[in-house]
Amino acid sequence: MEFTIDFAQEINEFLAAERATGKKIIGIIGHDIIPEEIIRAAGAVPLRLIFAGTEPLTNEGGNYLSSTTCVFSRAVIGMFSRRAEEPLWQFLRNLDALIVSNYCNGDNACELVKHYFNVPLFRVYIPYKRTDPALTQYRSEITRLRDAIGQFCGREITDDALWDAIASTNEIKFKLMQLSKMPLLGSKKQEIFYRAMLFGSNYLPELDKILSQTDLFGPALKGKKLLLAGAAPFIGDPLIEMFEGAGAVVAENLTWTGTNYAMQFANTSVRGQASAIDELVQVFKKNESSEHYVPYSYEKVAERIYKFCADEGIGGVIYHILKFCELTGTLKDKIRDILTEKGLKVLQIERDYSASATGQLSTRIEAFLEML
Amino acid sequence: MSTLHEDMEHFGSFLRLAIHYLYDRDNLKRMKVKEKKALVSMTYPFSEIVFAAGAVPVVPIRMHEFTSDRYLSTISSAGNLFGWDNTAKLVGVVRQFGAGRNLVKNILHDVVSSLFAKYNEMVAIADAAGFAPDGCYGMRALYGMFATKGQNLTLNLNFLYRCSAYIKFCEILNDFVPRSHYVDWPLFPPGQLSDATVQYMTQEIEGTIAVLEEITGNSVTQATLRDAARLGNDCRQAYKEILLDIGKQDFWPCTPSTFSEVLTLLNVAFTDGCSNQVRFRDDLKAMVKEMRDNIRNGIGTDVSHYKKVVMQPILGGYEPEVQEMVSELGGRVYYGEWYAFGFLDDIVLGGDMVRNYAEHYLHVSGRTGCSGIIMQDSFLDFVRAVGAEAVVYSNAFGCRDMTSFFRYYRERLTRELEIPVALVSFTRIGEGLEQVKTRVQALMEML
Amino acid sequence: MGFDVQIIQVNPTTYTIGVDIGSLSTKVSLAKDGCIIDNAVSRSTHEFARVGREMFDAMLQKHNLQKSDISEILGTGYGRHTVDFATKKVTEITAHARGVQYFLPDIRTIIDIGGQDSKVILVSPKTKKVVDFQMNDKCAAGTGRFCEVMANALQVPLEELGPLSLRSNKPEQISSTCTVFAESEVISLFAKGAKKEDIAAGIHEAIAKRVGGMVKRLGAVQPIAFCGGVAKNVGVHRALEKELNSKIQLPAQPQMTGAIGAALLGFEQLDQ
Repeated sequence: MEFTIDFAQEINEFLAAERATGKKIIGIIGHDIIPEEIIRAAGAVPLRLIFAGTEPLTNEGGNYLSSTTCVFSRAVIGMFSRRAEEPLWQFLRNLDALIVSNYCNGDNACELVKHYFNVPLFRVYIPYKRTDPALTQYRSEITRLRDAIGQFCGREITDDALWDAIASTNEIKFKLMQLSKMPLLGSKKQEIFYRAMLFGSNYLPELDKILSQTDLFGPALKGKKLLLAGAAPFIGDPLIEMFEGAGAVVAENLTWTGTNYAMQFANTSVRGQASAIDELVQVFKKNESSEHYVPYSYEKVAERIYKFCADEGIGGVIYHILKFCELTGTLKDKIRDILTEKGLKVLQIERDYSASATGQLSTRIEAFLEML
Repeated sequence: MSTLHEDMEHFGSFLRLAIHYLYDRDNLKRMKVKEKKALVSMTYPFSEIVFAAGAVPVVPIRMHEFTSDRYLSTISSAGNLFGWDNTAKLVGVVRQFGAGRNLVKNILHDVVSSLFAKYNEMVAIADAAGFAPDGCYGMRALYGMFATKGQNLTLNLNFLYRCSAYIKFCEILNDFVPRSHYVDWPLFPPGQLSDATVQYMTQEIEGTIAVLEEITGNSVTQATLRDAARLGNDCRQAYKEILLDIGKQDFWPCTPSTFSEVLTLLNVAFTDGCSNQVRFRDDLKAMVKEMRDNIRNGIGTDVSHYKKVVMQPILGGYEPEVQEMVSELGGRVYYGEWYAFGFLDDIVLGGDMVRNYAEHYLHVSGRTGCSGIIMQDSFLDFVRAVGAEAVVYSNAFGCRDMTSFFRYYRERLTRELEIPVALVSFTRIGEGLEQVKTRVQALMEML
Repeated sequence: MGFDVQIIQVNPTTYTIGVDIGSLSTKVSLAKDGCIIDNAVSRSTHEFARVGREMFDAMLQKHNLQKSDISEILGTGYGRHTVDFATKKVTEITAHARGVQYFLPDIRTIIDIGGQDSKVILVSPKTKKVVDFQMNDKCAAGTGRFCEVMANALQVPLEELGPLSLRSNKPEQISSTCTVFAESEVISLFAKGAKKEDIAAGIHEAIAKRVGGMVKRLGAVQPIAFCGGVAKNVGVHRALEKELNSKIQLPAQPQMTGAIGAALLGFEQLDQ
């Protein structure tokens, strides 16, 4: 999906309008570990940083971070650096704070927004394991985050408020899960995902309209079916369009901007029996397919990919890696080996947001599709 | 070229430590096979917990043979037989004679440079295996070490230190080792250590102890933890004395180049205590004594006019030839990674030792792990501690953690401390030396 | 009859020479009592040592000097280690800083783009010494070599590339990170019929972006000067001014600043 000035303005207007009602805008790096429900429960608006980098942005970010830091984190720093001058990034001026965590080195690196751009930070430290002591630690961290965000927004986040936020977030996620199964073009689905993640409940009426208009049992899309895994395609990244342009159908986006986001939901049926924080801990516990997880994360990631492929009759996997992203890059061969052993074909593509990289991709895509 | 040979007759303790680090393979084999001790991998200096369990911490590279081994075995035997001081004097005598001079030069140059050659070899193994070509040198060297010697380990201890590249890399090690145990290393907001975090770290230590007890059949008690910590503290004291007390003086007990090599050796040896805590402690104490004796007897070099240069960070990889370049240009190089990280601060000996270990680990976490800015500030602390006049900053290709915030570091160093810095790119030992030399020389010309 | 004879010691003239051996050209400067009196430049070839020696000898001959008349010979530049007749060696960083200050005494930031490298140097306003620097000598992007490759791809003589770029109203976007990719882009654009001046302007913007990035990372301060062989390219000069949004001064002899600086340093360091 192209990141147009119009869309940037739309985001800007939305955030400005929310701020005008007294709400704070709190940014999060767009991965799967920080529960955005906490932000909503504080009456604030979560802004997921799900925007793709470009060569100029990563070069700009390179003025602050070393050149072997992940391209996404460099791009994020570049966006903040350019937000005053470039209309595309002006919406970032609405940001009141940013949550950074130890999810990965790139996330860590974004702490520079405080030092260079005066954006206040919330820090969260996530355990790598899912043992009971690790879950206690995670609970302690998100409780601390809850209290800090509550204080920042000027209100105590009660258990009820958090449950309400979970319910409204779940509503979005359930509908996105429905959408992900529909016979819609992957790029179209992706645009809807982006809008839902950015505009939250405000987008629900539009989402309902799309769901009601789309025939769940409509004619299947023609083309070779692919599953996208690894690094998420962000707004402005033509990755899915490139595959569709070559005649493929990206049937499943199993990344942070796709099904991986939608399937991380808390169980509201235990409301009244368990605290909302405890339920969020359970969500974290179940998320063993997170790249952040240790040990044997690659086995769990591969397992989940394979399950989706088996369920949906998908024969090819695109494993997307961003340059210097260790969470997707270090174990990519192990994931590939597990999947190929199970009979799937895997295309690994590594990109660095440069224009030339996009140009080289077409040949690989066409060759891969010919293999399927 | 190291000038170590010129110092050797007065530096038996260096010889001794070098041999215990580099020529310990047979000893390790004996401990594993005959004494049935558990060999436990060590990549960060947390060896006390392993010693407390009666196991043997080891950085896997030490299980390799080095090119210098043919000399080292002779020197080792002589050292054991005649004592290290006498052996050093004997080496000094041999040096007087024509052929002997070259022989001595080779041995002693090999001592440290053979280690670096081995690192390159390990990286080559990683590259041949296609492992993380955009990963840092340090990580790829570890891959080579584990790929070649991992099967000799009883347990691989993975500390989940903040760098997620390193943590994901740890997953790959499972291919090479019979068993792995992960120790989560919680972080906390700068200056805000909570009870919950201490509790978590304590539980992780307890879990690690349980695994160590299982593999060794020994009990880890408060007493064994305390003894190991006490010995570890002795080692820390000696290390700090060399680095910050003797190191900051204007008269060094050897040439500047040799002193830098001592610091190099200490840096690597401290990780696993050369697999023998008592021996390591005795080696360090002997070194301190010998240094003090040399200074008292006027043996050494007036370094008052040598500019103090810190080289950091080095964990991800660095070019050791820089210390020779700096030396030739009138400088003296310091390496102090473990100081910056907080590893040289003592473990408390009173009260509950498990909690004390946890707090020690968290202290390190607080020095470096919880924030990139805090980490750079910790590096700057070392620069201030030695009174450095210049810095060579090693930017290892592929490092996306320790060196990411170089701009911040440079700004603080040059604007607040008014100390110049040269950024040196590093890919492999011995590569691009001319470019390195230009930067180092330009830096020294600024002073 | 006696005379009071007063012997007046006349300070002998002090000559120093700077030899700057770059990857593409070798420069020699002669200073007399700390003032530059002559300069020479020639193509380096692969025989750095021979060219350096010949130019040194030619300079001596031209001024009726012997080697023994020269108090200091300072070698600098990429090939300084081949100047075996030099009495001292100094890096091009220090040499260029001193050389630019000869023309522009109050300069604070110096951008030097040579044949194979580019660098940014910060100078202290108080001590006039170098306080920080950043170099790119690992990659041809943003160096003189980049210009050569692009001029070739565009089928334009190198010396015309700069003036051509000034005629553009709409520069093309060209990669600033890799010479090989940039060359492909230039050829592709040329084949598609893009205007030469627009491609040329894009090339210069790519250089300016690359070098401008180094300037920003170093936290450069005004006033800024531009030296090195590529400083003769008016297109790069303008592109840098645009990228940095700042006036950039040119020393009178931008290609010679390394050799000049070395000669002057030789004089200044005589008593040390």
